Amino acid sequence: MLNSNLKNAKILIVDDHLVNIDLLTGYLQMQGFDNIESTTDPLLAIGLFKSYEPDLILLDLMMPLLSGYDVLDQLRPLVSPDVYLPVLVLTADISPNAKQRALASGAKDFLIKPFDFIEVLLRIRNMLETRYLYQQLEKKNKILEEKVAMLIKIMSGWNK
Amino acid sequence: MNKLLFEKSKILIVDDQQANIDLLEGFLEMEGYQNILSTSDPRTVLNLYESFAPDLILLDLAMPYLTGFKVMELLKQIVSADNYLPILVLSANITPEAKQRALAEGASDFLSKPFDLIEVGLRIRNLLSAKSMHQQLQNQNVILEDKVKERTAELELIAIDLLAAKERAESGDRLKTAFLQTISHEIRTPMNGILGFASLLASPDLTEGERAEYLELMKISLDRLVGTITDYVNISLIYTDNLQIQSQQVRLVHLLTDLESKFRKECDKKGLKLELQLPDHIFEFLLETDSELLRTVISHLIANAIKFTNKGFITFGFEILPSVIKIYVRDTGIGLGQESQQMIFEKFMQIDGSTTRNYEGSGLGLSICQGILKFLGSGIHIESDPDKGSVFSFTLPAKEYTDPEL
Repeated sequence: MLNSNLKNAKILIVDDHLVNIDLLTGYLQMQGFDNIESTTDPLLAIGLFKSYEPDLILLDLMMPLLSGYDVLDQLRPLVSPDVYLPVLVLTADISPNAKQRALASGAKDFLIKPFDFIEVLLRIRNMLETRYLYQQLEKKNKILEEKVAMLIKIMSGWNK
Repeated sequence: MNKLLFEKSKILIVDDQQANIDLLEGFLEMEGYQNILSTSDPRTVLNLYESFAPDLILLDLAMPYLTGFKVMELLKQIVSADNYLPILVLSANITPEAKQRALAEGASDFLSKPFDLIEVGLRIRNLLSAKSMHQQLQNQNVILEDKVKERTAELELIAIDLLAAKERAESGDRLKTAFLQTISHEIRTPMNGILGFASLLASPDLTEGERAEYLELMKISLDRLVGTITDYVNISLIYTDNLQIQSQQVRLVHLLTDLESKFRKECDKKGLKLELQLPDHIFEFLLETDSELLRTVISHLIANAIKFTNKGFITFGFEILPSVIKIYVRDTGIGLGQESQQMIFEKFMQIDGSTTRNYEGSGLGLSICQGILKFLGSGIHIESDPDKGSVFSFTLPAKEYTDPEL
């Protein structure tokens, strides 16, 4: 079963087909994920990203008005390079071109439609786990740096 | 994530079809991976895991002898719980049930045959990324411990320095207090003598002899007071770097002879033999230095020798060495141990300790000598044995070699 780190992870689903959202949301809730937000309007994706601050984004590629590629392009400048924000691309288009383009735009992996639920679960799990580890590492680094800085401050005070 | 880091990652490929191994190896090498090991015999996986310590395993499911499921089951038993070992399962036409089972046995993700090379590349990269995070987190603790050790060592060094500084400060404080007490004592004693004899002199019933004696005793006290005050003025000039040097031509033999007659009386009184030793055939020697300061230094050394010698003799003089002369004062006094020899050069140290309390004087003599000599570019050298006596000496540059006829 999911550990609490994964269970509480925030997942944002962006897909213009409500049925896909319902399907994924239903399955993920069944698997124990508690925090799922979604939209069928890709124009709202960036706003939701800012307000919801998801740990993982499931992003459809083929959407009207704004494609998944466009969303990825808008997303990139908002995510600092030392943050690991996984984006899983949902697509029925398995052409090498489509895959290459999505990867180049910043996607971390794919989920091919129609969904294989075992793959949905394990890929989400892998991505979230990597993000969690990344955050832990950042946190520990920060604590370490703070401690070292504090020690240096104390020590330089002594030297005076 | 650092590309270089990935290239060094160790990947183990387990597939009974050599064609699959060749395909994957070729692709991974093209991607830049440098540490790839393969086997077509699943029975060797456990040994390879131990010897190769892979970061990632690509594992076929349908193999003879041992299926991928069985391999994962066996791996689970030997991979320690805190070691994260991602396993990427290679499979063709896999049923949902088989997938579930693979997941339960520890598979991290799947690659379907025939391979889509883009997916192979990204899935391997993603899993290695997770592995790398895991590794770094574990290393973190080790690094943290190391850093803490390092800092602790630094802190300990600083603590030692601080303790030493504290010690020095405290001992400096004690010495300053003792110094002030000595000043007070050294000024009051002769003042008492002067005041006492002054009131005695006022008495009308004194004989001429008594009057002369009192005046003589007053003069001794006055000399001592003047000497003490001069010492304090000198030491403060030295410590505030205000000592002025007035270089001139000094007739060394003349100066030493003068000092000999100055201290003669004091030595006679103590029953000590005082002797000035001159190098053979030398009647005068010219030095370019400050006459008054040189006189002060040698005076202090002789006075010191007299002060700390109760029987025997005091000899002083100089030796001519290449480009320098060495001036020395030798005594048969109480001498100094190794520790004391070092201590007497420390600021204020000479006035501390029980020794000086049995002897007259400000106790600043050596400190003044050392201070003056430092201004003259020299320093005191001590050879001493407790109870056998001491030799205090210093050298001065001697530019001019003197005509013995002078």
